Amino acid sequence: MRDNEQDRLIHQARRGDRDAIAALYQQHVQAIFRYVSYRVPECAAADDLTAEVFLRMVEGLPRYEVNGAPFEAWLYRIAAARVADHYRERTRHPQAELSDHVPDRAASPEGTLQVAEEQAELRAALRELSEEHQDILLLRFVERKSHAEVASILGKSVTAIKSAQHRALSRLADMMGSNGKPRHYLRGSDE
Amino acid sequence: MSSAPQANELADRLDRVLPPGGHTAPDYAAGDDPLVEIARRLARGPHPVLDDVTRARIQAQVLSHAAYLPQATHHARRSIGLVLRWVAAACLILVLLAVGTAGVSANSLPGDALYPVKRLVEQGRLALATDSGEVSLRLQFADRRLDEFEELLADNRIETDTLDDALDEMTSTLALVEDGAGTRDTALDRLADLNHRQIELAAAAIRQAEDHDDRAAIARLDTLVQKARRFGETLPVPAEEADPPPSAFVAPRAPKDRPSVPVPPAESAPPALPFSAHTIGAHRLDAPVRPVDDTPAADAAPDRPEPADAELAEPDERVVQPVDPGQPAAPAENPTVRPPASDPGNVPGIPGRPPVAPPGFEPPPQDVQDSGPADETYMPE
Repeated sequence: MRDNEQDRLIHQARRGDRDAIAALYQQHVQAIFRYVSYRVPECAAADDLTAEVFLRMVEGLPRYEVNGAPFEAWLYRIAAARVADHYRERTRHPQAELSDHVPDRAASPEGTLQVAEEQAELRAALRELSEEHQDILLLRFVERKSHAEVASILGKSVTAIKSAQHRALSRLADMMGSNGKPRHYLRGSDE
Repeated sequence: MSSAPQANELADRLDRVLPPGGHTAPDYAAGDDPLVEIARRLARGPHPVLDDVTRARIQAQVLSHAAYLPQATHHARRSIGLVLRWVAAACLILVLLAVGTAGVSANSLPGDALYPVKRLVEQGRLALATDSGEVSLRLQFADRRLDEFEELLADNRIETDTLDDALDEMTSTLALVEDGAGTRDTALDRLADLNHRQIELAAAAIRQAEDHDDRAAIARLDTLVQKARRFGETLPVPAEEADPPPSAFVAPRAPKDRPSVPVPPAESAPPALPFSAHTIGAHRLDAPVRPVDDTPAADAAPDRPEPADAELAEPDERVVQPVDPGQPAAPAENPTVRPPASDPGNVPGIPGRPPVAPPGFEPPPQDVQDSGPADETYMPE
C-alpha cells in the first residue's frame, strides 16, 4: 500500500471513519496476530492480545501523528507492550501454561507432525531470546521485512539490526543444536 | 559477539536466500550454513493465521469500541475550543489591563509614565467618533489639556506644550465647526471659554516664569499667547450675537461660565488705546485689530453707540495695550503691557473680546505712535 493511501486511511480513521478503521485492522491484523502468537504460545491469549492491540489502536488514533514512521511500527510497539504486560501479569498470577504444541489453526495442510514439532521447538527456542532479538527475527523472517524496514520499525540503525540479527540467529542455532552445539535450551538452561 | 563484517556478510546471504517481501520459503539446497538454515526454518512456517471467525469477532469489537471513543475531529474540536478559550482569556486579560491602564492613566499628567497611554486612548476615541462627536471630544480634550497645565503650574511646572496641544484641539474643533459639524453656537461659546482660560493660564505661567527668571519659558508663553489671541480673533460670533439690536450696546463676547476678567478702573487704565473707535462696538471678533492711526479716532466717536446698559458698557470694556513681543519679560519698563505678577487678577489678553474704549476716552497720539501692531498687543485687565 502506498504511503499516501495509508496516510489517507489513517487520517480518516482518526476522524472515526469505521471503514477506515476496519481497513487498517484488516491490513495489519494477521501480522500482529503472527507476532503475538510467536511471542505468546497460548492461542486464547494470542487472540485476546491481538484484540487488545487494535482496541488500543482505536483509542490512540486521535493522538496518533503521521511523522514518517511506518504505521505498523506503532502497532508493533503496542503489541510488544501488550505481550510484556501479559508476561508481567502471568508472573504475578501464575497459571498453568498451555502446551507449545497446540496445533496452529491454520497450519499448512501439508504440514506433518514432524514439521509441527520442529516448529514448536523453534518457537520455544525463539522465546528464549531477548525481546529485541525475537522482534528482529520475527520481522525479518516471518514478516520478511528488509533490514531497513526492521530498523525503521524498531528505531535502530541498519548496522545495529544486522549485528543483532547475526547474534540472534547464532544464539537460536545454538539452542536448536544446528550450530554443532547441544540443544540445551530444551533442558531449561540459560546457556 | 558478531563482528560487523560477519554481520554484513550474513545479512547479504540472507537477503539472497530470503529476499524481503517474499512470503514463500525459497528452495535452499545448501545446508552448510546453520544461521541461514535457522532463518529459512523460521520463514518456512507454517505461520499462525487468525481464522475468519475470530478475525470478524475482533473487528466487531474494535469498531464497537471506536463508536464510543472521541475521535480525532472531536479531539481537534476540543483542541480548537481550548485554544479559543485561551485566546479569549488572553484577550480578556489584555482588555482588562488596557482598561485598567487607561483608567489609571486618566489621572496622569505630562511627564508621567502613563500619560502617553492617556493620549493614545484619546486618539482612539477620536478615531471612532463621528464628526459631531469629534467636536465634543476635542473640546473636552482641550479643556483637559488646560486642566493638566493648571495642575502642573500649581506644582511649579510650566509645560507649554500642553497649552499648545490645547490650542491644536481648539483649532481642529473650529475647523470642524466651520465644516458644519456639531452645534455651532455651543461649540463657539465653548471655544471662547477655552481660549479665554488658556490665556489666563498662560498669563499666570508668565508671572511664575518671571518669578523664576525663566526667560525661555516666558518667550514660549509669549508666543503662545500671541497664537491664542489670534485664534480668539478668528472665532466667529455665534448666530444669536452676530446681529445685535441696533439700539442696544452689546458687550464683547465674554465667557458665559466664567467670571469676567477684572478690568482696571478707568483712572488706572493705561493711556494707550491703539484702536480706532469704529472697531469699538463692531463686535466682529474676527475683524483685525487695527492701530488707531489707521482710522482717526474722531471718526469713531459718532459711530459708537451709547451703552444702553451701564453694566454692559463699563465692566467689560477693555483697553488693549500694545506690547513689544520681543520684550515680553520687561514689565517694569512698560507696566501697562503686563500687570504685576502680584496682581492675580491681571491677565495680559482676552481673546474674543474686541477692545472697547471707555466712553469719551481719547487715546493720546504719543501712545498711538508707540504702539505696535494691534494683533501683538496684550489686553490688561
